[in-house]
Amino acid sequence: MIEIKNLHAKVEDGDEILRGINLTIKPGEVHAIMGPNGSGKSTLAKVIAGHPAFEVTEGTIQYDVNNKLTDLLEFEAYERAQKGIFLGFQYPVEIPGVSNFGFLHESFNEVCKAQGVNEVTEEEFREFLKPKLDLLEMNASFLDRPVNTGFSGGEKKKNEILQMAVLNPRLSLLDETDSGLDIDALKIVSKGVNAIKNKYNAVLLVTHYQRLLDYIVPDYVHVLSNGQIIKSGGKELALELEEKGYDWLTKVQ
Amino acid sequence: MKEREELNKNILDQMMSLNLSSDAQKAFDRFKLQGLPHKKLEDYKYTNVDAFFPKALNIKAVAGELTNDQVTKLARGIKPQLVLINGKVSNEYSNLPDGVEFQISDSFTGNKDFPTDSLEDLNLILTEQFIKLTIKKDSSPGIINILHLNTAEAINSVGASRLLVNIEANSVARIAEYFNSPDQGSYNRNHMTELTVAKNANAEHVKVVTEGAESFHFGSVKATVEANACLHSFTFTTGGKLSRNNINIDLVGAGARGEVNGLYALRGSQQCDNFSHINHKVERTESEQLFKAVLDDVSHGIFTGKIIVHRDAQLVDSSQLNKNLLLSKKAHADTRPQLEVYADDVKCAHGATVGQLSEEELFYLESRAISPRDAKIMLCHGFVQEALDKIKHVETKKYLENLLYTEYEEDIHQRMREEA
Repeated sequence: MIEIKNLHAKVEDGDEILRGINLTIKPGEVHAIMGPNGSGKSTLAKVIAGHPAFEVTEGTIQYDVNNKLTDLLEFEAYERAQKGIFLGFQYPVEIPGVSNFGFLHESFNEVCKAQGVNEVTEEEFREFLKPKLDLLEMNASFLDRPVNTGFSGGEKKKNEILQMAVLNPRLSLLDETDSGLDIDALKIVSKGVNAIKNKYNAVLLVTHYQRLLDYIVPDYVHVLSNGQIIKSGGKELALELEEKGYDWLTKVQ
Repeated sequence: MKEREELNKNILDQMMSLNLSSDAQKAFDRFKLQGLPHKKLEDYKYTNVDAFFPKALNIKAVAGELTNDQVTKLARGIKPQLVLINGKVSNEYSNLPDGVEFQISDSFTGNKDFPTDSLEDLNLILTEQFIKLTIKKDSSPGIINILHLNTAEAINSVGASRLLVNIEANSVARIAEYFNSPDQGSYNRNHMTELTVAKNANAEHVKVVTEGAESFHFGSVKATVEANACLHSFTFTTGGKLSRNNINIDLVGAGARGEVNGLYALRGSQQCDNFSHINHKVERTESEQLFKAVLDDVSHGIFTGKIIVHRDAQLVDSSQLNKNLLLSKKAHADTRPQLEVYADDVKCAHGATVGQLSEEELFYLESRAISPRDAKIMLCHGFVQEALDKIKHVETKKYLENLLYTEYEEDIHQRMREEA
């Protein structure tokens, strides 16, 4: 689905953060990226999603569009989203004055338009949302509030997964979705992700802690340090990291 | 300086021939001393009106007519209860509801204690019809839409009009005044609205300035609010080359409340100067103020908000906020919150912000498949909605949303298409 080769990226006028990432994700897979603070985990997710603050200086990202690998870097962030790439934010942005419903509706219709499907009316969309709200145990009153404004940490993250459920992306990049969640909210969010996951789509989890991986079980775990993947393995690698910390890997370098 | 003297002399010469009432004569004498306002005056620091008083300007009322079709077109979907053409009431369209008394007189009947600036003096000198509406005690007559229209004859002339609304005790008044014109030529409008809001009354006054692109709009709203009464004032500006909105609210009875809000969305080289004074004259009065600006191209938005809490006006609660959204690098915002407090037990908050669209908010929307253009529009809508939501009369609010989202934006959309 996506092939990242020798990816280097830096902040505009700043230091290089990614220093040669190689990663391939196939449909149906769940990958977890772990690593210490400042290792470049979030940057990797943002670069794939097309955040304008980062500049790719070397390497390629090939992404499957209609069974053909296509240069993803040619597309703007909104075009990548239309092609099925979803970034779940670590800190979802509050947008006062814009209703959550209007935002979701517009977002959904943009994806429909891009994929050549008919747009839906407000009434149809409200119906469409009902089971997804139920899945995330969210009250319908959320829809009429401004986007993320005044939401608790847990509500914001649920709202991210609601958007994921609505847009039904092929590749979801979930950036520290577990941060700021109590155990109940973590269970609900994980239940949501697991329900959306199928053999046609893929998930990249960026996380600090092993805790999330008890609920969303990865096929592969990668450890990122200083802008490079220094170790990859199965889900047991996460447990090992939990036990030993990152030092035993980073010190070897 | 010499030039201004000549402009003033020209205005005075033309006014000499007018037949003035004693109040107008006093205003004339004041104007003779002060002349046109200029940037050296603190209250007009950012606004120069000279260009709108050229020598060729005709300083007196002009007659003119509009066909039914023209009026309908200019009303843009508004059903008017009162129509003024070139500052004079057009009997054909007057349709005031029960509970409203209507009078026209040829001399000033309003509050003589309000301080005036020289454009307000000019209004008193030049107004020929003083219109008075009375909202009867205990009544609730519904919306009164007033259309102020100019004809082609008004080009290169200054037209003055004046409205006094007495809102009697326990009544509910909803008034919206719309200023519009069919022609793009340069005209100079000077309108004043005076409101007296009696005990326990609940009043809303919405002023909508969508004047022609070359025009100068000078408008002044002066209100007194008595005990336990409430006035919601809203000033909406998207039109005019230059507009100056004076707003003066006196809270004179305990429990009086003033909400003084506004929105100005400017583009091209438009300039809008909102100048407000809220006087807390007695104890236990409240005021709340939110003015928002969306400034594009090389437009210039100005806000001055002076709040004065008089001596012995204890337990006053007042808040003020001016927020400016700059859509272009060359747009310019000036904001002056001013607080004068002479009492000691009061709660006053004020603030101002000037900024651009947030990059983080834009990226958030773009990451959800929304194009940069649509994302900008959504964020602008979100920004203005907070201000528009202050309007109590729902149909008026919806009308203005629509007006803003079609006309003002059409231009921005056009330019985005050109840039793309």
